[in-house]
Amino acid sequence: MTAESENKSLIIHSLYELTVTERALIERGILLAQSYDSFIFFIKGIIYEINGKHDDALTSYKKVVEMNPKCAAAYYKMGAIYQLKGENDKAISNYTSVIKIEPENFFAYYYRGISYKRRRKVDQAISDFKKALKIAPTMKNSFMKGLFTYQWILKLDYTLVKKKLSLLTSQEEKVLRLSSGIGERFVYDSEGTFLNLYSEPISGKTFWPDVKRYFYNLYYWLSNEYVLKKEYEKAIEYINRAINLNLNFGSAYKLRGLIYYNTNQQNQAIVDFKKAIEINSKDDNAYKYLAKIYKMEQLLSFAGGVGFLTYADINNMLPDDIISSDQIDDVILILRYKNINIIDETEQEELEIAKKMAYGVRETMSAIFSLQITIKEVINIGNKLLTGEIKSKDISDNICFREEDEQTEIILKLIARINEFNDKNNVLRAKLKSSSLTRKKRDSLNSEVELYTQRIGILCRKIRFSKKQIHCFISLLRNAADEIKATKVFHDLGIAVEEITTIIDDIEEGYKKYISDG
Amino acid sequence: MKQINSLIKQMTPEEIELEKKRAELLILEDELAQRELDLTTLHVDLKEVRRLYLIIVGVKFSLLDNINAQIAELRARLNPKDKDAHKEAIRSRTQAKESANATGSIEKEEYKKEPFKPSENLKQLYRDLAKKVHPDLAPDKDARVKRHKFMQEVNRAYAAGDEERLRSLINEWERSPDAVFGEGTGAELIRIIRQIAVAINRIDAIGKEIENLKKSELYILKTKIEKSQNEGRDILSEMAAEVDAQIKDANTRLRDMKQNADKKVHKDRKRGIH
Repeated sequence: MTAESENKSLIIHSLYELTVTERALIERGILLAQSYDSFIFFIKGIIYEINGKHDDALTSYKKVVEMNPKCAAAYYKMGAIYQLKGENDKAISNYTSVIKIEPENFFAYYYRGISYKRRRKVDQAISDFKKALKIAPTMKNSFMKGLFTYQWILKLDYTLVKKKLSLLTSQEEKVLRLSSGIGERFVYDSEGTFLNLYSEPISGKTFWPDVKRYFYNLYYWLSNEYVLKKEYEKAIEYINRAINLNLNFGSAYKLRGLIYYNTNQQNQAIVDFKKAIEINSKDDNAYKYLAKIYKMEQLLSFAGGVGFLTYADINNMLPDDIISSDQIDDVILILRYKNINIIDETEQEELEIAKKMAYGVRETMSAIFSLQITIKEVINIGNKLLTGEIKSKDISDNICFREEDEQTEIILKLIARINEFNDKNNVLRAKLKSSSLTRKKRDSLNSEVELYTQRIGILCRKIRFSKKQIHCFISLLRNAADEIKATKVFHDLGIAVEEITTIIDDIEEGYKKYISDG
Repeated sequence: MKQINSLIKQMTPEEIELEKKRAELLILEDELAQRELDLTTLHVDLKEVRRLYLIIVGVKFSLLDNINAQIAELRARLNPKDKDAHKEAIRSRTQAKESANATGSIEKEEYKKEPFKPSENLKQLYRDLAKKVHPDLAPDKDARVKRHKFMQEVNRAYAAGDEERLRSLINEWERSPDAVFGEGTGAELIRIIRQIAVAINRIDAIGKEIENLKKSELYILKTKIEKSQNEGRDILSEMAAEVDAQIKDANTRLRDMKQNADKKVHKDRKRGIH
């Protein structure tokens, strides 16, 4: 006997020898179990997602692809989460995995294109968007394939789905599921969302409404990418398609306006920017480009300083080629958007009122910014701007259509100087506390404080805090006054409660006027 | 101490070597018995997994295959000129027959659902017997054949969890002349050295076999079942339910196809085509 046959001799009455058929049957079962397990993790992932636990969802989906590396739906889900988290490279890699498994998956190209776009990979984005457009006619099929896992649910056998949901074992999942009623909602969602896909044919006039959205978005993005490449002919071609599909596509009009603007077709640009404004009256960028076309920089910066404009100001400061009443109307539209009052200088009375009002506003502002509490808050705002906690547009009126960064920089410079003057005032106030000061010295110190306070007021006005922010300052003062009244702590301020209340009343009065006239 | 030293000195080098080798063999015999136990347990386990799987899930697949075969045959009948449909009908009928064969005999076997869980006693009895009876440790060919048969008995009793039978096998073996050795030191030394080599070989071979078994489909299935049990699930029933759902689908499809076919026949008759 050879060593091998000796060893074999002990294999015991062929305990487990499988026939070919038995092996095939068992393989079928294992496949079933694997898809079963991966389904459970897939459901877990969806539950985590619905509960906003994106990292846990990612872990679940990773588990799915570990068990079932051909599960395109799990890669797709991971791509979507990474995209949401702003991790576009990871999103791209997951969408690429989807495409490897399903080379005709519309959504994988669509969303990978978006991630490429965000990573400023223009050519890749264009290529993906075009591919998506190309396979769009078969979208229904690819969508079904892409999310094949949903087919369990789409089989309409909800009892089976519910049974599968009940298989979630860990305590946490059970709590999650019960607390949010996710199981039912999930089924409901799939009923509401996915079944539509089955029932609505995507042909002829019976467009599934959301499908249209994918098309005009694709055209819009393609156009956008071609603008980045400065290939304006192609950009126009695609943006026209986007607008044809959606006549209320504000951003598309704006983009087309931009293309016209860049190709020196200012009249068409104006039409498109105005259309964008018509659709979205708060479209800052559309106003900005209109203002650029009408060369309004000087006018706006002047208006920001004075607080109102006369028609003579407008005539003087606009370029000579802007003469038609339509053009002037556009200019006025922009000024209105920036809350700048326009008055007719022939009516002397009106001018006087406007001047008084502007003066009143200045006085109110001076009063607000003469107080320590407000200045502290202004400096605090500076810190928040610096850390990016807030943006300049949250607190200020950006009359001159500056870019966010530029506007922030200007405000930060102003606040730095306010801080500087405030430090000086603090030193002076400390000196004033000394009891050995001569009267003359005290007066001189006081006038110095007054001077810096005035400067601080001017700087604060230059920031052009928004009405909303001014309102915040006033509430802050009101609260402080109430607190002082309640605790009777006066010494730090050196003024009586009555006095501070009067100041605040005055401020509020002035502010009300400012609001009602603005 | 002196006495003992002198005693040792009195032993011949062969005797000393024989003692050493005997001790070595004893350890190896323990290990070998344990490995045999592991292997046999795994075999019994896998056989049980196969049986349970075929009873619970396999039969369902067999049902499903039968319905699918009917569907394919009906399709072939409705499309007499479609060669692919005919091929598919033959293929799926063959598969259905094979599945039926594979699961048909299994159904007749006793259906007990408990997995194989040998008691410590049972394991100890097996180890004792494996040490005593191991065919690879037999002195000659005749003894090996005899031991092999005996070991098969042991394995059967172990697989059935029959402690009583194992005990009686031990008694039987100890009464048999094979259990007694009487030889000269030299011959015994040669025999023991040979047995050591054989035991090492066998332990090695068992290791490899277990490794191979762990790569098998059945082992994958076994781990899945155990994992699901730990989670409080019954994966085999879940699988069966899944196949049941597929059977339901297939049945509906078959019924619809039959109804459509009947309607067509009815129409054709009306038109007088028939």
